Amino acid sequence: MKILPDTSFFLSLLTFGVEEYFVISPSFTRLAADVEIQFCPPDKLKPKPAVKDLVFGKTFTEHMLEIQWVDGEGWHKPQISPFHNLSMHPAAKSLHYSVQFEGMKAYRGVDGKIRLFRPDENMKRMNRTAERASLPTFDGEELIELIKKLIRIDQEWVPHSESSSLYVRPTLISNEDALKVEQPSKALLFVILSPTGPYFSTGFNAVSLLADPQYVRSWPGGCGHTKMGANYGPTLMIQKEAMKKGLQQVLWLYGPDHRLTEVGAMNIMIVLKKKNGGIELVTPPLDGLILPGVTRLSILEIVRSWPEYEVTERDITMAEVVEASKEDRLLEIFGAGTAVVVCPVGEIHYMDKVIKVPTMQQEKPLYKKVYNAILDIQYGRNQHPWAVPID
Amino acid sequence: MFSKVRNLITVKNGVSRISSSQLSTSFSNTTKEPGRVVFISQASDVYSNLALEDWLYRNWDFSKRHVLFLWRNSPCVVIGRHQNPFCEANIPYLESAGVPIVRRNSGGGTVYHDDGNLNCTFFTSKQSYNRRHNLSVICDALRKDFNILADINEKDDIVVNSSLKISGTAAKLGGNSAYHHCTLLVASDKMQLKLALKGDRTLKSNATKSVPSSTANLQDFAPDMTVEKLLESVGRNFLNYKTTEEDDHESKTDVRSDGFTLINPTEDWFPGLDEIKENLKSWNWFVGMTPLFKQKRPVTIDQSFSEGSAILVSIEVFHGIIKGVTVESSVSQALKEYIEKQIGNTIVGSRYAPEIFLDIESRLIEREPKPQYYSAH
Repeated sequence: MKILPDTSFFLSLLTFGVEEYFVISPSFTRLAADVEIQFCPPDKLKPKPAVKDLVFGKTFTEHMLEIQWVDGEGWHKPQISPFHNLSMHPAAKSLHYSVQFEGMKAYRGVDGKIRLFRPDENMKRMNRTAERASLPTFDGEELIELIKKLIRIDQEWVPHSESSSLYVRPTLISNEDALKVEQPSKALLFVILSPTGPYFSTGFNAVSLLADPQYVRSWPGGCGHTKMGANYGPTLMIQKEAMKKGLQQVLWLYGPDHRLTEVGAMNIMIVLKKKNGGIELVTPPLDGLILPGVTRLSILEIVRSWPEYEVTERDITMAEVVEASKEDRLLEIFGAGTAVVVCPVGEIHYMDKVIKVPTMQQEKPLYKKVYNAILDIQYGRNQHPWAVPID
Repeated sequence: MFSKVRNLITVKNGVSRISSSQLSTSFSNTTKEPGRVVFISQASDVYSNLALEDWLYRNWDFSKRHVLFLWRNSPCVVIGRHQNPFCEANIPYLESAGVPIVRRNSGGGTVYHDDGNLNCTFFTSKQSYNRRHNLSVICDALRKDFNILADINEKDDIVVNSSLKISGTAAKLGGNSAYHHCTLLVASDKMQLKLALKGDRTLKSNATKSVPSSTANLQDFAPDMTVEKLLESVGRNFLNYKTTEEDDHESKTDVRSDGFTLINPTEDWFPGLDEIKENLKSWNWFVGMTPLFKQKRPVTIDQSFSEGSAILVSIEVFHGIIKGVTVESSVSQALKEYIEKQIGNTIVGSRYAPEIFLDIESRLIEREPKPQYYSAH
């Protein structure tokens, strides 16, 4: 009789034949193989609109994935079923205290195949966030397999034209119906998909930023490094302030030295000409205030492989940006995120100054180079392990 | 180590089972059997549906996933690739009724479609092509869900009560992929079918001819059946179909299945579709693909002619273009030459249309100078 070393396995092990062991064990991550699927019947399918009418975040596909977790029982069987509203008790914990989510995309490549971009990174981040949110963790590889199956079922929602994509939104909430601010005993993991038509790059347009140090997105010891709903809701008001002033995004500053942290809902990248001549790509370090973006990580890894650039993860302050601008050493500033990949910045309104950023005036801008490099991988022009086929 | 072992575990009926030969990606189909999905067209115009069929056939690889495409058309006539539309259908009637007639890519005979019939196209790789299997899936659905006992005859028609045809089949095989499509008559308008498929008997052609058979509507055998119900039944059976060696007791959804999905056959969803549609509508395809045929008709001539009031004239048409005019009755050499050469030269090289004989008639009436011919005898 063979006994497995992990103690969360219970009791009797019976050996049947050379390769099989039977174990009775009530609580551990279920395998993707156990998913229960209920297909949307033909008469309930939603007609597909013209591609131009696919609205990101408003058009959803016909199926969704749900996995319930109960303390003491672990994860229940995953279910793929027709897209439906969730029924929540008014005291459901997440309605009151928090929600966490993830965001990633699957791309229809030039060869017609659909690929997920670095899903393993999103899974790791989701688990880190779950720990911080006191929500249950799960097996990332299994969730990726389930997401692949969900996408396979709904893949015809992605147009066959090049550069169409599917936004994947995994979400983790507590649907325990108890108000007390304590460790949740029930949780629900669900995944929904939203298709987007071809993203026609009619050229980039630089955005203008409001940099007002009185507004703080995240702080040391907080949860700014996790993807929780709580980090996004409060930003809407400041976004409105920026728009009132005729500006497009918010540059989040932190601390008495006005460190640049993020822009809008994206990580921030700054390209400087160093005093000694070299070109440096700077981005704030992952010290707890910054969301570890997958696009951010990909850009850093790609640019590190290009010898003509120096890449540094370090703090950068507004004072440094102002000085670099005065000395004509500020080359580019751009945001980095899943939705647009890169977002060039044209000017920053900071205190009583307007700092012009010559991002769009560069001859061979770095933001364009990384944009092309990443898209080539996502759309399969460059076969790369970061792009994972769904089958 | 634990995660590796945990990954080997599956749970069934509360009991966990580890198989060391299975990896954690076991959810993706380890059977190596192709996946299955059912596409349902949102369009009811024959051009969009036939164009999509061609688009899928040309652009996709079906070795990993078989597709069943289900579609319905508003009233139309579809002729086989090598057929003569003028022989097979009543073109003037269809034109006046605004009913489209289209030449498809696969061979076989002519069919009349309306929204009382369901079209099924089974896409597979060339190696997996199996018409009988596809038809069995349909017969199984008819038996299980509607209590209809149907058979497949030697022509791959599905028949009920041994002689009433409720389905016709055609297919196309290519380098890598293949498709087999068939119609299923549920509640088709039999009278319209008869009117539409009345061809021109004055045509003699070597083109593939449709073989008429007695047909029936499935609704005759199952009054509650609708096209929607049949669609769901055939689709479900296709998705869950198990070969005899497989365990039929599994009520769980087949892992190979990707369910049903609606398809919007337009250019923005399927780039290149419009070009295929334009080609289907073009004269070069619809008439221009017609094999050689001869049409013989009486042509009325002037009363003052001593030859009689009508003579038989035949025209020869190849790929829709008139190649020659021949007088079949015995007439004077002058008249024969006039018709075959003078009139012939003006119409040879032009496109065939059923009205061509009226054209010949009117040219005969207009001929100059008349006296020459009066003195023929």
